[in-house]
Amino acid sequence: MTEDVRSKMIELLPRLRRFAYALTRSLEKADDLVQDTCERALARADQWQPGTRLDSWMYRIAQNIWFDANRSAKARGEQTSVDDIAELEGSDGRTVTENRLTLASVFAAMEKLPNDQQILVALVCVDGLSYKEAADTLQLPIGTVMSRLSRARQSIAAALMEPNPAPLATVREAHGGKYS
Amino acid sequence: MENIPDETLMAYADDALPLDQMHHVSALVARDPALAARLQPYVVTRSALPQIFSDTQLGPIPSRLLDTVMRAPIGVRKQSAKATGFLTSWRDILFPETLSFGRTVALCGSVLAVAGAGWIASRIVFQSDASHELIAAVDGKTLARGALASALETAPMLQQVAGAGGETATPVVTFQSADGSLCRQFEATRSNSDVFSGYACRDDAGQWQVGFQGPGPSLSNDGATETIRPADRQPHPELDAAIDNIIAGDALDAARERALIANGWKRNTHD
Repeated sequence: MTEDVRSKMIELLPRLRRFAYALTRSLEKADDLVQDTCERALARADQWQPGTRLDSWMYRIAQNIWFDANRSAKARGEQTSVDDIAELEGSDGRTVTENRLTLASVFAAMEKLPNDQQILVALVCVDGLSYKEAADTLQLPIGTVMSRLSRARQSIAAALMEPNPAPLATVREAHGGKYS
Repeated sequence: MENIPDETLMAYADDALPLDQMHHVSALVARDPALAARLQPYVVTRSALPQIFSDTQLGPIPSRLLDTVMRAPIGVRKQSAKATGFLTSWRDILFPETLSFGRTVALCGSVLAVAGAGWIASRIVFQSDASHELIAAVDGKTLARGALASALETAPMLQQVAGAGGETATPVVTFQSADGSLCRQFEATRSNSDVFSGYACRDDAGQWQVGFQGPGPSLSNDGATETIRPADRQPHPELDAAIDNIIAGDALDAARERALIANGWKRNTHD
């Protein structure tokens, strides 16, 4: 079964990366998080029961690593920055250009959310889990999942729909001049 | 006016309500602008977030992640928790000797299965060899190295593998030689842009021995070396003659080739 775990993990990598990217908003940090998650999961592969959901188990591991890293980053006074958005320019120029304003607003709004709300946005809105699956993954009541997620989405939508975009976006718009 | 909780509106936007409730909320939203406005945040986030955090933004899966999954030790816990979060060097956790070559290759097969599902872009960046060399003489044999070895071992035909120094290698066709070896024709570009092509056959030790190499097809000079399609290839009479000399039967089709890659280049008994 042990080698089977590796194959299943490889199939999960695209989903884990999206999840990690939603949490870190940085391409490099997302891959670092996924890498550490896989490493820890393999080290503890004996804890995973074949037949149960590997994705839920790995999401929980990723969540714990991310919580820990956030705590130590906060303790060191570090802040993740929306400047990481600049990294995106190499991946798909056209889409990124069109979405830059949206990205800046959403990244800033996500940054302000409590960690437990960010996790739910990543699981449900980005990965596409149902409320029930998210509740099972996080071992929370479904009512808690829905109320947290609802609040998180109101905050993100407020940022998306506000007439004046985030300051970074404004600066970039003035420079680029092609977003109007 | 009926009081609809936020959570119900969110579930409506997410198509997560039972059908009768969907109809009910739909009717209420249609005649109540305030309710429609409250629905808006959920509709907006449902459509925007998957696009923002999509695979397109992420790009192809880096090879360091694949390396970790394929090679990080199973059941070996670190002595102490990491203090600095998720920033360890992947090289620290590579213990290739803990995994047999065949198993590694079999897992590469599942990587390719994932690639087949369209989750990995057609270009894999190979980062494991710092020297950037593609061919090396070892004990009197000419062996494929780096991105070329990786391409021959794991990439389906016409999928380019890139090394960290800009060197690339692309398997073109797979065939069996008269002595029973499995061989692959390839095209490659060194980090100095020198293009060459040839064929290599896999020996019993799992090494790809280069049987012929010569100047590569003269690619059109528009820098279009990203993908090499058979139709783009210039004639290469010496290479073709060399392959004609050793080939047994026809080149293998994509399905046979895929099966061999997934199986660590071991043939099934009925082959």
